[in-house]
Amino acid sequence: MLERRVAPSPLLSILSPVIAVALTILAGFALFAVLGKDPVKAMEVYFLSPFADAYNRSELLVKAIPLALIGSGLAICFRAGVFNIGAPGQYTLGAIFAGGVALHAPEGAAMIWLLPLCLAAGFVGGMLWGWIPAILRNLAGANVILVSLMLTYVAALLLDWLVRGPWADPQGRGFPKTATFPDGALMPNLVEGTRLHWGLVLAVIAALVLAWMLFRTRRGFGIRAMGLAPRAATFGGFSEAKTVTYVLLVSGGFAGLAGAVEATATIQQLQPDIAAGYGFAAIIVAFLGRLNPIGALIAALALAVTYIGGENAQILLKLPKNAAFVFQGMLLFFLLACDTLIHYRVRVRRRAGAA
Amino acid sequence: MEIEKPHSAVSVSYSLGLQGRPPSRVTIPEIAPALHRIDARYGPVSVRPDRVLASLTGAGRFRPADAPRPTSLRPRQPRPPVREAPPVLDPSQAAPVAATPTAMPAAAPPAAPVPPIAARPEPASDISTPDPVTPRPAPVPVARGVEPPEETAGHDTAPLLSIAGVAKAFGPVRAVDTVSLDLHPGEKHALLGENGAGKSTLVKMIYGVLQPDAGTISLDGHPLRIDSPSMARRLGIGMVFQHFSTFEALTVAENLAVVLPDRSLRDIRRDIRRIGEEYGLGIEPDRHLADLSAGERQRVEIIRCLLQNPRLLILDEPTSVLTPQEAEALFTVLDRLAGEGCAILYISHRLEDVRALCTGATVMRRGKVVATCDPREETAASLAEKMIGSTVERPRKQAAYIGKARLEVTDLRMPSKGGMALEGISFAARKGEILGIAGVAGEGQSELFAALSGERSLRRNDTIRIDGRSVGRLDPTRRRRAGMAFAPERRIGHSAIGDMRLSENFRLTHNALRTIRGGAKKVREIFDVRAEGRDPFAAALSGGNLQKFVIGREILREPKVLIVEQPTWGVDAGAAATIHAALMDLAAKGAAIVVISQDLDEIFAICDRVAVLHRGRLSEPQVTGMVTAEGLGLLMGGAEPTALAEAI
Repeated sequence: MLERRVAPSPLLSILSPVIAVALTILAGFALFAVLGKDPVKAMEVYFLSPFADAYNRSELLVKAIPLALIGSGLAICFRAGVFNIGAPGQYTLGAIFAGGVALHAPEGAAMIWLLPLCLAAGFVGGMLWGWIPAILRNLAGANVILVSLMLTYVAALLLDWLVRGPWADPQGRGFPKTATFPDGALMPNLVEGTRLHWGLVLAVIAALVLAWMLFRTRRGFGIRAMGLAPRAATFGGFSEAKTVTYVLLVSGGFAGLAGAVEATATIQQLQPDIAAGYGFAAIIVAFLGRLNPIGALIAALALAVTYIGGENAQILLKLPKNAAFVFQGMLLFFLLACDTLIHYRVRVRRRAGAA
Repeated sequence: MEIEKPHSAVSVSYSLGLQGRPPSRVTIPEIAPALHRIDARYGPVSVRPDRVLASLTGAGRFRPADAPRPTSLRPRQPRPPVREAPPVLDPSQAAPVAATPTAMPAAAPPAAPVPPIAARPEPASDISTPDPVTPRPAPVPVARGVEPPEETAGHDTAPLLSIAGVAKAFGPVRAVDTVSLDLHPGEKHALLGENGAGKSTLVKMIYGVLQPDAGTISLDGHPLRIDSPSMARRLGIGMVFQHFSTFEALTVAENLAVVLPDRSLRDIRRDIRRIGEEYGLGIEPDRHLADLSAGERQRVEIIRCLLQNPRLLILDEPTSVLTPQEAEALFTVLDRLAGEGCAILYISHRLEDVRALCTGATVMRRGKVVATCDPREETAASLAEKMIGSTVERPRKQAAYIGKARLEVTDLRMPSKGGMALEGISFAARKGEILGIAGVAGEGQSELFAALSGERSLRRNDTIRIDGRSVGRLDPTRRRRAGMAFAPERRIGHSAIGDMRLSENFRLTHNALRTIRGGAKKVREIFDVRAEGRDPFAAALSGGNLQKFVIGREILREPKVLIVEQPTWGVDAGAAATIHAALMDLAAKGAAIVVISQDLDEIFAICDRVAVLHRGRLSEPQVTGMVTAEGLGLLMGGAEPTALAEAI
């Protein structure tokens, strides 16, 4: 059984993510050894190749952008003790809303406003999708985890229907995708010759704003209080229902923004697969970043390494794509295990014997 | 440390290792210091053996008005580990037995007990004497007739459960101090005592949740080490908790299947119907727990115990969640079980219940057994006196200038949300006054606090008024702006957040207002809050220091009205003195203060007037100097207010 420690070590609490990464690498060694690959080579491909050249480094950042956007929003949500695991759905809705604006913009309209409008629409789309679990929870006591998760599938099917039906590209020869967005709706590149785009700036600003909100405002105080001790927060005058609604709107909004950014920057159209898996990976980002929006920024880079490393390993080592997901899963597992063991100690309990 | 209320929660959290509630509901740590305080204030309090005797026999309860009051019923000398004589039912025997408890040979039963009053001799075969080894066979229905056999019969047998010299300490706190108790088959025995008297700790040891530090617990004369509740259940000990540990979403039968994994659902369903018919515990096995009332859920708990063929059934405050009619039905079931030879250990502070049901009672105070008696021979007043003990005359806070009403509560009604409903509470607290609200735990205190603080808002805005301004529908923040301040009973998790620093905790109740710069530091200086570090986490503070911080945080705002619940619960004597002084000081400055407390010493020490909360109703406030502890104890036990007049 687990027994709560009286005083968890503050140093270990900070080091926990580092320990978790180290353990993941160790477990990775074992995994590759079992698969019959050279573990040292595999580790090199996984963890060093993403930094090897300018192209890899820019791709790393491209992957990190949506992870950071979603992860810092989720950090706020988890801080309040609200477990929104429906970020993929909110991300998808963000992409749909952004795509809807981009595809239906009247031609010849002021193109300079089109991209901001798309991003704003994406934010609103994510907020709306995050609002549903909040409403159901506050009115009917529904479980946020379940409702938000199930809405993910609703969102995926909605997107599927749109790109095959009403929004399908007339010139697409039956492929399930929309037309490419007009130029005004496309995110400009940050560095020429790479895919790195202005979303990076958005992600950094988002993390800074969210961190400021969480640690410097009354509302952020209420969010942290609610997560630590709901009754004390209510006693302090923070409404539980309002806090839940707020954090779901915020995390949904930023997930939606991430969807809009991906749709306008890297995909540039809507299709059934818009990499909504970022929404689940961002859960790891939020926890790895210590539920701190700035921490999520750094954690997003770490997760991006496993993505890029996984792609490289697929090419160079002929490892299955899923190996990257195994890595991500191990990382979350070790992280949660470290956190648990920092706060609790294991005590082996004697079986009750007869007297 | 005594955690009195959430039994099931505690037992569950034990196994999870998540002690949900910090050990703050302590009364015992207060006891030694409190005794010193009383000694320091009022001179040494000595025991008068004649009074002890009188109280045990119930003879001393009609005291001539001019006779000196008994100074104390509390034995001051530590009692040697004593095997209590089996509770005696015959009043003529009570006196000698009680007077010489140590002299009684442990195993000697009272010679040929004479059945009391309306006793009729029972044929020996009629009493199911349980086989000491095998579990009690399934009860035979109805054959025994409507009336249960007289309970005295059990005393012919050896005690089923025998507790000898059991002690349990939590750190320096002796929660249970060399307690002895015998329980015979078929006996309905009450365990009486105030909050923190050690009842729950004792019972947890019997049920295997806790292990005693010293002494033995024997079943059928065999000393045992009861390692876990599951072992207790195998031994035939069943327990009905005050708070039920059930799964809302499952049906009755499924809930029972969870705890009886080796029986099929169909068998369980059949057994529920069978037991329901036999005992009048009718409940449909396929109903969902969520749809059941508190009384019906308790039936499920009792059926759960009965399915395991208990020989000893422990009930912890069973009527606290029941309507009077449900309580009546419960007593019928218990009578019947006892008639079949099952021993009942009934924990309660409801004196009327105990008088109606039990044939013996053990009164605990501050971890020790202070009396054993037959509750049927006692009055509610004499039982209350035994429970509360102190009848010491004490000086009260001299009323300062008391002015107009600052806080007015008019017909406050609030539906139950799993606890006690409030039913028409009205009172006023005036400028300069400290109003005490006494009552045993769970009579609506936390609900009243939530209603006053705005954590639960009310339908009518004018139910609560501050200086004439209606605030009944406002949230806590707006009420604070109107000049109210609050300090709830539970520190970590309610009035403060353990994982936040003191500066942030200061902000918790100040964020609605202009922040006081360095407020946390100011509180620490003014109220002598001792803690390591510049800005420590609240969880790192001792109970007393954190409570000083919490009270200081509210007082620093100079509120017009302060609502405090259990201001000195589980804090050391020094901190308690600081807090009391701070409260009296605030009142002297013109605030109106409401102190909700279960500690009568505290109420007598600082309050100008006192009212008693019982089952969600509040009695008429009385001037503290005009009431006695016994009078309040009666009201706390649910007697009608007229009884108070008689007791004075």
